Amino acid sequence: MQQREEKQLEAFLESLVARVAHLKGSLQSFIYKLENEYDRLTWPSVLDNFALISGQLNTINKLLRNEKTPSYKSQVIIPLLLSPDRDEELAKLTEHRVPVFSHEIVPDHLRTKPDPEVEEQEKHLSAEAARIGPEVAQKQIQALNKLCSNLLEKLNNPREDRDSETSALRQNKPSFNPADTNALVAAVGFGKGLSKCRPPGPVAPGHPGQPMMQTGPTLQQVTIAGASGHQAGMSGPVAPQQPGQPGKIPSNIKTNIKSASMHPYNR
Amino acid sequence: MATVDLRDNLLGISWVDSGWVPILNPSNVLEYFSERSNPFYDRTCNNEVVKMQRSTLDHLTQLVGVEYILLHTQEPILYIIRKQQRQSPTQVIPLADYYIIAGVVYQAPDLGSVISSRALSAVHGIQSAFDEAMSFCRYHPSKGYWWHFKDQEEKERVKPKSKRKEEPSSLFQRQRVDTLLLDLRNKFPPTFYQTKPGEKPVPVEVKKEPEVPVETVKPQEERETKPPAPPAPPRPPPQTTPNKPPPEKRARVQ
Repeated sequence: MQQREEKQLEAFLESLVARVAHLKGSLQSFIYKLENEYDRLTWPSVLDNFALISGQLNTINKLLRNEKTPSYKSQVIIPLLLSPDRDEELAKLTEHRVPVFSHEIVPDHLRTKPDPEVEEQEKHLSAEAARIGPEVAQKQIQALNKLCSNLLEKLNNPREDRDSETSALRQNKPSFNPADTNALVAAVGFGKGLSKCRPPGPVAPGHPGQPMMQTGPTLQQVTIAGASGHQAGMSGPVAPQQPGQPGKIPSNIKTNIKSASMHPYNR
Repeated sequence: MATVDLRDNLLGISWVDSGWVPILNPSNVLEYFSERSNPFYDRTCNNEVVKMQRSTLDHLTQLVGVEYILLHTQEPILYIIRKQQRQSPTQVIPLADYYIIAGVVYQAPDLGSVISSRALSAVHGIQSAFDEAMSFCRYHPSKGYWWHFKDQEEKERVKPKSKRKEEPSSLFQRQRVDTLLLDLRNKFPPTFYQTKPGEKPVPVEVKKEPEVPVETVKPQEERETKPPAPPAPPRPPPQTTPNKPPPEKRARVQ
């Protein structure tokens, strides 16, 4: 029985040492990057390094909490031999960190009391835990579980990720149409589209007017005379007064139409 | 939990009685350990019973209960004392070990406590590093991630201030300032009538305008002929002209 326990303990210690070595290697490489490649180091890569270290720490924690792990808690560490002389074997084992196993070094290395900062944090956390009652704690746990489950669902579904990506791309696209913008500017500035909607009469002579500059205005004048004639005929009984007043207003409108129709064609 | 707390407390403390340190030896180390002020010692142990009965330590094996024995010795600096529960002369259950180095008593930790303590320190260090790194990281949807080190900016801010303070005035600047001050002093000697009349300079300025371009001799004559006129002419020029150049020079010096 004792031999079995001893073998298990040795295996446990060997695996623990191996994992600690891996963690140490990761830390060393990370520190090397920080010191030599700091100009090329970006936050995502730093985050990846921390994630790696965190994963390895979690692995060590799982090993420590494993039920199959032998009861290492019942093993006591006792210094049996103190020597003020340098111990080469010890130096090799500890990579020259502990060259001497003397009466000054043993208490420091067997110390289990954490640093003051760590103690303060633990006190703070324990105080918070005491404040929160069991009901509030359960509510927070449920809320956190919901958030985590939602995140997991989103992460586990690649289609949803693609949809979100496409939506992001759509959002990035411009929210306006340049062609429509140009059309609106032309309509407001030059009345390009509005002239067509106005009375069709003047538009018709406008088209034949384009090829011949001289005949254009003459045709327009003829049409104006025709219009005034119509108005005179309609208002027979009160010819002297009414034809004068309506005559002014139509002239203004006509002049505006002329200018509007002329600009786009000339330009 | 209580036991764990007590255990942590014992693991985190040490005890020493400096009076005993020079004379410690295997024969009296248990007596040293049984001091009243030793927090590791249990007064209800069998060692006290044997002491009261004035028997030798050999009788401990005949009793049942908690007892302390000297487990290991490396004179004169290391002694290991074990606390154990004796159930029969041949059957004991170890409870705890204590090591005494140079007279200071510590409780020997178990492997689990040592590993947990090391892991806790490591996690705390890595967490601190992560928090500090995250505090230097900035993100914007259009720009992405970039580094923003505040300490450097603060240092940069301090540097220019120190530069300004440390910047000494050159010899040219000092000589030039002295020369300019002397010239101004010669051109515009101080007058002793400035304080009395403040209203007069206004009309005198109007008079001076046509006079100055003509000649300088005329104002002197006017001073001699009219006693109230002489104090007015010299006042405005020294007040106006010397005020402008000095601030410029001061700015240069700064």
